[in-house]
Amino acid sequence: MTFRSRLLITMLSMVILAQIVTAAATLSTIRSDILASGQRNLDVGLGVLREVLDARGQRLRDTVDILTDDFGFKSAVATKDTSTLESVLINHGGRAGADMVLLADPDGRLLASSHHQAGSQLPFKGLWRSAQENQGSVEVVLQDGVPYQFVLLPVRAPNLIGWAGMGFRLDAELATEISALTQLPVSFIGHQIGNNQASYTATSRENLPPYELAQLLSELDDMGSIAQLDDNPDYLTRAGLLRRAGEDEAFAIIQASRSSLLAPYRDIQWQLLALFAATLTLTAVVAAFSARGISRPLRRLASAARRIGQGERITDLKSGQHGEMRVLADTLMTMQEDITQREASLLHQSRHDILTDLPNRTSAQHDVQSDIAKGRAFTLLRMAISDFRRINDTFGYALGDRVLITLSRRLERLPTPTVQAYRIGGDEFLLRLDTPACPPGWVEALQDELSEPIDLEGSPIRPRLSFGEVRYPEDGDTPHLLMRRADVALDIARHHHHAHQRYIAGQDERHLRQLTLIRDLYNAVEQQQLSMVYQPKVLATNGNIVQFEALMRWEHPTLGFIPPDEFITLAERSGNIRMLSSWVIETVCAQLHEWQTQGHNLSVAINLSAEDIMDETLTARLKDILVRNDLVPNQLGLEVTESAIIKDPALATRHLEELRGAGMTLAIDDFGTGYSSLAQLKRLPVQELKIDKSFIMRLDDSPDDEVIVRSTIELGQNLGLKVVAEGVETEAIRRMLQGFGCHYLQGYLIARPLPADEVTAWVERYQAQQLPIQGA
Amino acid sequence: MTRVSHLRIGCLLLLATGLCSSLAAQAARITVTDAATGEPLTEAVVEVDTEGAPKPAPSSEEVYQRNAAFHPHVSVVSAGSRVSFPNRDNTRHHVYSFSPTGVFDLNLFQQDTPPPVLFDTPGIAVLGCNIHDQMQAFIVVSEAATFAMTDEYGQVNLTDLPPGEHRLRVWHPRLEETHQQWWESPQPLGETDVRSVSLSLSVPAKTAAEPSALQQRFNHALSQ
Repeated sequence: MTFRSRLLITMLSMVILAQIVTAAATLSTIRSDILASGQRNLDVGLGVLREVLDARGQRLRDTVDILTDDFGFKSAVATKDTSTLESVLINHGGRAGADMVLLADPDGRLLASSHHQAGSQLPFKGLWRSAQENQGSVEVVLQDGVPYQFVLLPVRAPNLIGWAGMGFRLDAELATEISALTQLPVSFIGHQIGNNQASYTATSRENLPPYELAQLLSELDDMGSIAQLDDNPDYLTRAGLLRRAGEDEAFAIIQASRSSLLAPYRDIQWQLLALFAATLTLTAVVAAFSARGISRPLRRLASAARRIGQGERITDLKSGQHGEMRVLADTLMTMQEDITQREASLLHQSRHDILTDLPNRTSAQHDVQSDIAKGRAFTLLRMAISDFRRINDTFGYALGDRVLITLSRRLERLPTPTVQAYRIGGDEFLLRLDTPACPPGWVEALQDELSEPIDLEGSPIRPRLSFGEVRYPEDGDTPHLLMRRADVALDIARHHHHAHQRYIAGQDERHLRQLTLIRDLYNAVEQQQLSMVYQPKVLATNGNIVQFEALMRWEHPTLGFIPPDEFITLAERSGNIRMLSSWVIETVCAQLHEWQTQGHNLSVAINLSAEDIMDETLTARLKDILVRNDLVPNQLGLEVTESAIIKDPALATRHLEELRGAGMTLAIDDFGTGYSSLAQLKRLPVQELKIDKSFIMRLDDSPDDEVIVRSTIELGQNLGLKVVAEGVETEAIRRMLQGFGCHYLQGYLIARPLPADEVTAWVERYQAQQLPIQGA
Repeated sequence: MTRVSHLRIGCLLLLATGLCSSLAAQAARITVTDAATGEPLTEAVVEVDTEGAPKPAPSSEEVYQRNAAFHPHVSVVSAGSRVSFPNRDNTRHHVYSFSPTGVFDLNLFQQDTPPPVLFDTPGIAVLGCNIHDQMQAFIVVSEAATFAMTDEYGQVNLTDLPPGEHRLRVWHPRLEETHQQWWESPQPLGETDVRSVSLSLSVPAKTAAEPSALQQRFNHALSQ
């Protein structure tokens, strides 16, 4: 809900509430006032009615008085002749306009009456008593349920000779007369208690509806002399008892029409309603205006905040704002500034290296991209500190960082045409030059500059740097490709300990081939691209088959035959070597078992990597596999390189002892290419030394190799080790080795590595050939 | 005389017998008082009827009108008497009576004396003037042997009552409104009784006839 509608609703509901309460109070007061004044009017009206009745009574009394004083009347009365009396009564009653006439003797016995039997006692006892006491009386009486105003006067001649009475009905004419005075409807009602039928009605109104009459009568039953009757929905009613005689009652009813009473009230109601509507409208307008006064600047600020969020720069936010809005606008502006600063700082951080404050890899890629977009030739030099790890190891990371920072500072002052230096990795930097190639001698100058000794806690360090160079557009057309090829060139430089290597086309492809091999090696095991071949090892003295060396072969589906040296090295580097070793062990043992079932009790040696040697579980695993394949331990030989042992000689020695203890034969492979000391060699629980084939293959024409081989064989003999010569390819070499006292021979001369399914056939064929040789 | 029982008149009767018998031979004295005030009542008619006694002879009386009033106000006559009504005013009078004892009316011109009216029926004639409402007079027509009217002390002395049983009754204009009723003594009167009769009056005393305002105006005009 918006602020405007909330304010509107709040203000309107306040006003409505206040108005309703006020109006209700006012109207209720006015209404009750009006009704109360109506009631007062009725009181007054009733008073006036009684006054009028009294006055009329007096007038009637005077009239009747004059009539009874008439001598003719008196003389007629004196006659006591009934018919005379009746005619006189008719005559005189007619003159007075009476509705009832009677004459009684002084004792109250009726002499003549328009309504009673002659000779009966005078009715209206109260009236008579009052008349006796007051020389005549006027009262309302009831005759047959009809109310009369009745005058009873003594007839004196001059003594009391009788009582003359005349009754005047309380008729509609009288009601109308009183109504004209009081301005209120007047009625006279005669009825019998308990009877809801009126015995008489006379009213100034057009008529008294029967239902109203019935209601009135039922209410009148229990009343005193005055009743206030408010049940009637159309009239306020006041009833005055005029006479009660036995069961008969006569009332004067005076009423006030509610509709005419309330007419001014209705006017006020409409006025209030109009006032109410006007106030509401005014309030709504005021609320809308004031809400707009608040919400418009708020909306402006909100829109400004949104635009700031979208990165737009707002400048004139504060104009026309006052008070809190201005504070808010100020805050928004400050926020905008803060955001801008933080953005700049974030951008800097995202584009710069924290340690050296040089632009980072992202920055480099971005700049290279924009250089490419410009289409101008340029050169990238990827630079690494060759021995940075050693520096870190030796001096600690803090000093390593100092080296990096010092180099960075030097890179910032590079000789032209360097455009920019970046730090793109741990010890790697990138230099961007805007020349198509490195100017001759530039790299050397740079290297001299950068390789100035750095003082690390008193030790001057001279960082050794390698550079890989790529050129745009010759060496690639994307930043990614250029960076990778620079890396490849750098790798080569580092590998070959060159200071500077320009990228040569194809280097990258080799690199990619390695990536492919690493990727595919994992699947090669499952997809049975790997296979084992077996090269026999024979006794030099008599040519007896001693053992086979199991060698791995990988036939890649697209790249074809992959040399074991290549993919094993890659497996070691990518951490897949254990998987390969496991596969080899399983495969070889299963093969041995198969041969065993074919009746060939053969022994096979497998190559273990450094990883395998360090594996605590290797011995247990091998034992388990041997048992599973129903093999004895000496059917399995294990060959390890010097370099595999040299990483942790103590652990390697312990594991090898376990394996030896388990009954497996152990050999040092490629002996002579590593750096193992003789002291180590002495401690190792191995039984064989395998001389690397690089020494054997040119044994016949290399005196150096001959010395090495002969000395090694001698060394082995002296240490109690059997010496194996690999790569024996010619008969001459075999004989030389035989002469040197070499124990075992292995090489193409005896047999090339054989697929598993050819081994048994070869063994049978070889043994068949051998018999004649032995014999010879 | 059944009417007496109708009248709610409390009577106080004092009998004082054998008192002052030496003073006057054969005389009874009756004193009439107002029961309410104890004041003596003048103009009360005391009638003592003695069976078999001779009736007084009829007489001729006069009730004249003077200054719009009858004089005397109360007369008592024996039955068969004649009463004349001479007008001694300068105004006309219309004397009438509707009383059963004598119904008549006389239009009297100034200084006119009509023939006397015979009253031969006992009773009380109430006289009025049709012209002057306030004029009223009473003629008590008695057929008793003895009757008298109380003096200003409310007393009558009855001498030489005839022998026999003496029925006593008393009438007074204020006794009741029809003026036709008597107070009757329940006990016969002794010849030398001294009685006091106390009457309860139901008609209020007329205040001394103060002339009306109009009358005064007229009188004033006349005197000039």
